[in-house]
Amino acid sequence: MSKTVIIVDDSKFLIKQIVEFFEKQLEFEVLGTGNDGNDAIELFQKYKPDLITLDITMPNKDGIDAMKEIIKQFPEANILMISAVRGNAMLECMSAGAKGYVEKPLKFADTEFVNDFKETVKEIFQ
Amino acid sequence: MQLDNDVQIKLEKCKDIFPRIGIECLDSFIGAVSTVEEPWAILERMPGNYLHNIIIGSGNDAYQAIFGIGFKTDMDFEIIPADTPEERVDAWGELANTYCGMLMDQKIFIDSFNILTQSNPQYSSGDVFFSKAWSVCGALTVSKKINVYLGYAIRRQMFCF
Repeated sequence: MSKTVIIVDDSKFLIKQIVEFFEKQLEFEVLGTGNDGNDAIELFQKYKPDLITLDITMPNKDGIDAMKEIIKQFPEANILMISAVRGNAMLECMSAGAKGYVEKPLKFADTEFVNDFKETVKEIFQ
Repeated sequence: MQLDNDVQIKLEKCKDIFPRIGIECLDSFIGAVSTVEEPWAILERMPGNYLHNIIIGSGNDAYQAIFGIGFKTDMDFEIIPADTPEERVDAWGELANTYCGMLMDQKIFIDSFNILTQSNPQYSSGDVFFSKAWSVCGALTVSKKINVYLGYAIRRQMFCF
């Protein structure tokens, strides 16, 4: 049975690409997509997926706040941050319980990037 | 308003990274090879005389900044593939967001200005008037005919809370 994922990003343009990547390259079943942190929490509560990907800079509730709330409710949640934010954000996310961090831009035409992304996801489930 | 020459000097030092990041973003988002046809300039105010504008603000304790992408024609704006106008705005906004993130990977920039936290991108149609702030501005050209105008304006924080 394939693993399940929920994709949350405020960019529908990127959601399309991430969904395609998870479906075609990783053979995940995408259970849903959302555009802000509130969607993320709601979708996680509803579907309890194997993995959720979260952007950081999103309207209403950002990805870091959503991540903390999800982990509070579901300590075993697998959360992968996908963000353009640099600086201390990665450290903050990882120390708060995120299992991985992928930096944008998402270069899906770049084999090295794709392999690194796949490896990051694989490591989450090891 | 008198602009801070220190900011101008710092921008001058890291001027070259701005077009380079733009080239990388356009390549990542649309697979387009872009070039710098004319040298980028440091101006006292970012121009905003475009048909389409994508704007994203950022800031930290000491500085506030705006990154803008401008397009003079629909053809330029439509270089990014999208099914709807909303999707196109969304895609350019994400490119702007990524650009600002990648800028924070540049040691020469953060040594001068430190990390700035970015906000959500905004779109506007027609002329935009920006406040005075030292700005690195220029265009990237795709296939000799498409011009994407980029500008990054930064100044010291004006208000203390």
